Amino acid sequence: MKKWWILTKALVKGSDVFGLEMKETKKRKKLTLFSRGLDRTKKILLGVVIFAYIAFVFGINGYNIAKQLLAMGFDAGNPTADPIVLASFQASLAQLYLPGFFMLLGMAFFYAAGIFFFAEDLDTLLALPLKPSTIVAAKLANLYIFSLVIPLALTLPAAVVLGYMLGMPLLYYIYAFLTLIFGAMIPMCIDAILILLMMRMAIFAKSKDRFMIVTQVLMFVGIFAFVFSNMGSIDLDSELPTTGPVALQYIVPMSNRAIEAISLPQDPGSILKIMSLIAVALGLVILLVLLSSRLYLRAARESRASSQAHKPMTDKAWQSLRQTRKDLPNMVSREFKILYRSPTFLMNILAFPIIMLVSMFGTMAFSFSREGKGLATLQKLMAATFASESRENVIPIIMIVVVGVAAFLSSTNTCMPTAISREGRGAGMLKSWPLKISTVFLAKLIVGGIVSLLAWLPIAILTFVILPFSVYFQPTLLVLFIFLPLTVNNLALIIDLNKPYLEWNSEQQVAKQNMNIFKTMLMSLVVGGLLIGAVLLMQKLGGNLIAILAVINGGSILLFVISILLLATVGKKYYLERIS
Amino acid sequence: MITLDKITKSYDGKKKAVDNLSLEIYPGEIFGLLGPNGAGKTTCLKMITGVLQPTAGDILINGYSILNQPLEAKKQFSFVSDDPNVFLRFKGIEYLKFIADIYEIDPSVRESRIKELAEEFSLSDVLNDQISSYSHGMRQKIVVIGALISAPPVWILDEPMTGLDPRSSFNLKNRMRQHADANLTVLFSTHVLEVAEKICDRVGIIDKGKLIFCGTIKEMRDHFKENASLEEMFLELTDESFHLPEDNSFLTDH
Repeated sequence: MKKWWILTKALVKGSDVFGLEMKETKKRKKLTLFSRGLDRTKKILLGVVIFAYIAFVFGINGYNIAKQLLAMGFDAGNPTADPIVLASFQASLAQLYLPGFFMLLGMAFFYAAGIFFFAEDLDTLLALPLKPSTIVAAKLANLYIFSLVIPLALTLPAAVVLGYMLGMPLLYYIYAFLTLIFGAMIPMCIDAILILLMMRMAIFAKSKDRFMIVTQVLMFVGIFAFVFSNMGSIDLDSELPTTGPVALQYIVPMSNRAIEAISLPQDPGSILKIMSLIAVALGLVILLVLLSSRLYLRAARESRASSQAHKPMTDKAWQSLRQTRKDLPNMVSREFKILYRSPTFLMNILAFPIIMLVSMFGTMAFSFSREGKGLATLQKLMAATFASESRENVIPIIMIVVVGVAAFLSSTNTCMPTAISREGRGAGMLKSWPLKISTVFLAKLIVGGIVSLLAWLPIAILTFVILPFSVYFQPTLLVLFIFLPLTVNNLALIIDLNKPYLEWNSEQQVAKQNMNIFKTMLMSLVVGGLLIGAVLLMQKLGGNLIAILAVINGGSILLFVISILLLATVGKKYYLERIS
Repeated sequence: MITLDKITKSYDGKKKAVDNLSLEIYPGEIFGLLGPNGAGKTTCLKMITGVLQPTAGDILINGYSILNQPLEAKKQFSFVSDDPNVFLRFKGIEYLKFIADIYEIDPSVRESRIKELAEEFSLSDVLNDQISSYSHGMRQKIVVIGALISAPPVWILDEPMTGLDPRSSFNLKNRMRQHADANLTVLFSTHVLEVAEKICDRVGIIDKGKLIFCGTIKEMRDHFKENASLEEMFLELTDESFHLPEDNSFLTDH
C-alpha cells in the first residue's frame, strides 16, 4: 500500500495536468511544485476562474431544469406525488450525468492507452522492485484522477444547483457525489481492461503501435455502437420520460438505480441502490488489479521489445535525397511526421473528431433509422423549429454557438496548444537553423489548421445539411467556420510560446497533461463569447439582420487579424526569449 | 571566425549565467570550451547559435551578427546540441534529408556525402530505421552526421563525443582537425580534458559565467607550473578548495 501511494504520487507529480510540474528552481535550493510558469497565487486564481466558468455554464443547466420541474409542481418533501414529475426529475438527473460519463467512456479509452501502453515510463517502472498489481493500481489511480475531472466539471455544478433550487435534503448531495465518483470508475475500468487485453494481443502483432491504434479506433467505435444500439431500443412512446436513466445504464451499469436513489434520498431502499453501484465499481477495480498480474506484466514487457531486424536502405530511399524541398514544405512535412508517427498524438488528434462523428451521426442514425425516417424528416423538423417569426434574431446566435463549439473542438485536438511543447528539450534546435521565424510558425499553423479542419468538418457538414439557413447566411457561416478555428489556433500557438512545456519525459505528458491545452480551450470559449456578445449588443441596439451579419463577418475576420498581429509581435518575442 | 563581444546572459535580471564575456575564435583553430557543470558553457554555445538571446553584447559569425542578421549568420555554422534525443519519429535518412534541405546542400553531393559519413560512423545499416529505435550513441552519431553534411565554415559542437564509441570518437576528432587545417573554425565544449589537451589549439575555461582563462595549453602550463596536467590546472582554476596533494603520483602512475 505504501509503495502504491509513493508511486501514485510520483506519477501524478510527473505530469503537468495542472501546470504543477516538479522542477528544480533556478536557485537550486529546493524542489517546488510551483516553480514553473505561473506563481502559486496566479495558478490558484486561474483555477478559480476556470472552475467558476464551468460551474456557471453547467450550473445554468441545473438552474433551467429546476425551474421547469418547479413549474411542473415538483415537491421535494413528497417527490413521489406525481409519477410523471418524478420521472422527469430522474430523466433530468440522468441528463446531467450523461455528458460527463459519455465523455469519460470515450476519453478514458485514450487515457488508458496512453498511461498503460504508450507511456515511456514503463522501462523505468518495470525495472523497479514493484508488483505488477502495484504498478497497475498506481497507474489506475493516475488515470482516475485525470478522468474524474471531466464528469466532475460537467455534472457536479449542475447537480448542486439543481438540488439547491429544488430544496433537496443533504442525502441528495451525498448520493449525487457518490454516484459521480464511483460511477466514473466503471467506464474507466472497462476501458482499462480492454486496453490491457489489447496490449496482451499486441504481443503477436508485427507492429505493436499500429495494432494498438487500429484496434483502439475499432474498439472505440464498437463500444459506442453498442451503447447507441441499446439506446435505440428505448421505448420513446412510453408516457413516462425514462430515456435518460435507461440510456445512462448502458454507459454506467447500475447508474439507473443510483439515479432513483438520488431522486428519492429519503427512501430506505436508496442506500442499497447506491451501495450496489459502489459494489460494481469496486468490484471492477479489484478485478482489474487482480487481472493485472496475469495481463499487464508480460504484455508490458513484450510490448517494449522491438525487432532488431533493420530495414536496408533501398535505391528509392537514396534517390529521395535528390529531391529538394523549400523551407516551408520541408517544415510542414516534418510537423506531419512528428504527429502522425506518434501514437499518442495521433490518438489525441483523432479522439475528438471520432467522438463527435460517432456521437452526432450515431445518435441521429440510430434514432431516425429506428423510426424508419431519413434525413429529409430531420430537415423538415429543423425547418419547423426555425419557422418562427423570431428566427432572424435567433439564427445569428445559433450560427455563432455552432461555430463556437467547432472552435472549441478544434482547440481540444492538442495539435496547436502543443506546437512548441512537443519539440521537448530539442526545441532550441529550431532556432539554430537558418529559418525565418514566420516559416516555423506558418508550418505549425498549416498543420494545425488541417487538423482543426478534420476536427470540425463533421459539424460543418451537419450544419450546412441540416440547419435551414437561407442562402444569405451560408457565406457568413463559411466565414465563421474558417476564421474562428484559425483564430483559436493562432492564440493556441501564442499560449504555447508563452509557457512551453519542454521538460517532459513522455509524449503522453505533453499531449494530455499539459496546462496549455486547458488554457486554449478557455481561450476558444472567450473568442466565441466575444462574437456572441457583439451580436447581443447589436440586437439590443436595434440593429437589423444585415448589420448583425456584418458584425459576425467583420468580427470574426477582425479577431483573426488581431490574432495574427499578436503572433507576429508577442508570439515572436516569446519565441526569441523563451524557447531554448 | 567567431567573435563574442561583451556578451551577458541573465535569466532573472540578477544572477548572470554568462557575464561580460569577450572572445575571438579564429579560422584554422580548434577551440575547446571547458568548465565545470553549470559554468555557462552550454548557455554560451546557445547564444552563439541563436537559441538564446544575450541580455547584452553581440556575437559575430564570419562577420554576420546573430542578432541582426540571424539567417546569414546561421548559414555559417552547423550545431550539435547536448541532447541528441530529437527527431525520434524520423528515419535516419529522413533526418539527414531534412537537414540537407534546410542547409540547401546541392542534391548531387548529398548521396555521396551521406554515404561516406554513414560508413565512417557505422550507421549505414540503420539509416532506414526510425531514430527512436537507435541507442543513445547512435542518436549522437546521426546528429553529428547531420552537422557534418552541411560542411559550413564553422562547426559548433556541444559535448560531441558523449556516447560515441572509440572509433567514431576518433573519426570525429580527425574530422575536426581536417576542418581546422582547411582554415575553418571548430568550437566545441567538453568535459574530457584529455580530448581537449590532445586536439585543441586553444582552450577557454569558463567558471561562474566568466572566462577565467583563454590561451593555448602551453600558455596555461607556463602560467601554472611546467609539468602539471591539464586536469590539475583546470582544478586549480575552477575549484577554490582544490589543492594539489604533495604526493600526487597516483594521478599519473596508472
